[in-house]
Amino acid sequence: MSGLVATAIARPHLSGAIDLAVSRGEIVGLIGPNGSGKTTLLRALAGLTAGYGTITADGRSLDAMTSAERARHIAYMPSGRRVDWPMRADDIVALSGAGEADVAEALTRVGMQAFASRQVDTLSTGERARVLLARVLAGRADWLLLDEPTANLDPGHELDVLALLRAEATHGAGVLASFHNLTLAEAHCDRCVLMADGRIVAEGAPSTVLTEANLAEVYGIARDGAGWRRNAS
Amino acid sequence: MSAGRLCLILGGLLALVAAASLLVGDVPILSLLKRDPALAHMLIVELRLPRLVLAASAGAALGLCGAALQGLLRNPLASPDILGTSAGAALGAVVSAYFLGLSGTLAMAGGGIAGALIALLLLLALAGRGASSATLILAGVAISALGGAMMNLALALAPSPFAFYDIMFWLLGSFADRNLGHVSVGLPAMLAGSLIVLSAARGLDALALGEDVAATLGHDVRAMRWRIVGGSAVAVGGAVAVAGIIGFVGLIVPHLVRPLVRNRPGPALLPSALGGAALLVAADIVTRFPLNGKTLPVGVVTAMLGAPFFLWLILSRRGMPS
Repeated sequence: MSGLVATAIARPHLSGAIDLAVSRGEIVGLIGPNGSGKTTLLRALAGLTAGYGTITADGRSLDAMTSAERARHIAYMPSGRRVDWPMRADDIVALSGAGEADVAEALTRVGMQAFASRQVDTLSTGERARVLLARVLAGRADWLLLDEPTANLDPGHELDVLALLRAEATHGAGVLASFHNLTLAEAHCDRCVLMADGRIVAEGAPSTVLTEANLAEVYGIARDGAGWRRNAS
Repeated sequence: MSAGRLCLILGGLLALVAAASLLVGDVPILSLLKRDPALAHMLIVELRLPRLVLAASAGAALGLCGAALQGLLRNPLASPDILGTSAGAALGAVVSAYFLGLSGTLAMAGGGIAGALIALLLLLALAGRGASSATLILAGVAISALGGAMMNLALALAPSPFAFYDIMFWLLGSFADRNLGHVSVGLPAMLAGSLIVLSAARGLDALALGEDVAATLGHDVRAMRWRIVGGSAVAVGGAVAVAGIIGFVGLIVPHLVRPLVRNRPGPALLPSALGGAALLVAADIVTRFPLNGKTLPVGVVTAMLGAPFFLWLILSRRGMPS
């Protein structure tokens, strides 16, 4: 069975067992309120919490892979942007195991080539986010699991990131990323997975997931022109 | 600068201070070589060489373990003395040598390693994973205080005034009057511990992005943690058993070295070991110049250097998030 397939994922913070599959070539948006279980699910799919359900990549179980094999298949980016040492941007991207040329290319793709030899503590939050994304891209993994890849980015860079993820998908990667920006998820994801209270509420094309009823139930919001408004509780 | 080139420079520095360490002392060794070569030879092999080897290996172990613990805990304030590891080792060594009736350097080394391990495990249990600087230092202070209190108790219960004096002087840290017996016990422990710590170097850089990212990049974070904690316990336990408590080497040296290797914690390990060795050998030379007719304990010299550095470190971190 091709794709990244998670079966019967059970974790604290998740209610019941969750099944989820991501195919190559698609961007799947993981959406839901704070605390709905998005990060827990992403970490489980990244193989960080082994032993709670099965995860297979193109039919092979993650448990049967060496950690190096797993790293070639799956790249994970947490929502935190913390880097504990003032390392250089290119050294951070090189943590992916990529060679010098691939590191330079990844930095160019995120528009940070001029900052290659800068220490990350001298970069703005948005610039650091792009360096960390370059680390993920440089690894050329088959599946990218990204926790809020557009957090802390301005609208222009948000769109740039989605364009980069689209390029990865076009080249055969599968992308699962969590978003809080529903407009962005609706416009750029092939599928959306809506979570609430540790379970999947709806799954499918963005238009079938981001319905008035679902948004009202999960977020307590409704469409208001091009934006959103809070429902009266 | 590449880590290899830095190692070459620090290795050269270590060779220089090592040569000085063999030559400098009460007895002018060069003129003695002409007058009585046999005596000079004996003096070098049985007195100066053990002292040099112990100072270099203890300095290397402390510098390396400081750098590795800083990398593992992702915290620039970590080091064996500040985290209470040295205090635990000292207590373990004293208890095994003076209270369990086990005599000899080997017993002290065994006790030192056990004490250091208990102190490190207690630290990890108290502070938990991904602890903030404040929590980690607080836990270290608590463990140091506990170790200090138990040590005072041990001193109060010392079997004899001589034992009291012995423990007191040993605690201050010194390489004076060490012989090949100390080397044969201390060196293997420090060497083995250091090699275990070095084997965890590869994943330390990735750990800068957090344990989750390091794990998804293919590093076994658990194994890394155990190697650094276990290896540090063996190396620091061995160092404390033969030399007493020598502070600040494990804190200062990684700080001086890391910027030279582009702030990467992994490549900082080996240079920190070489730098620690050079620093402690140099500090041991300083102790040979008597002050007021008395020789200084080497732990006092490193503390005089290290305490102001620690203060500067705290000041430079003011206003930074923990």
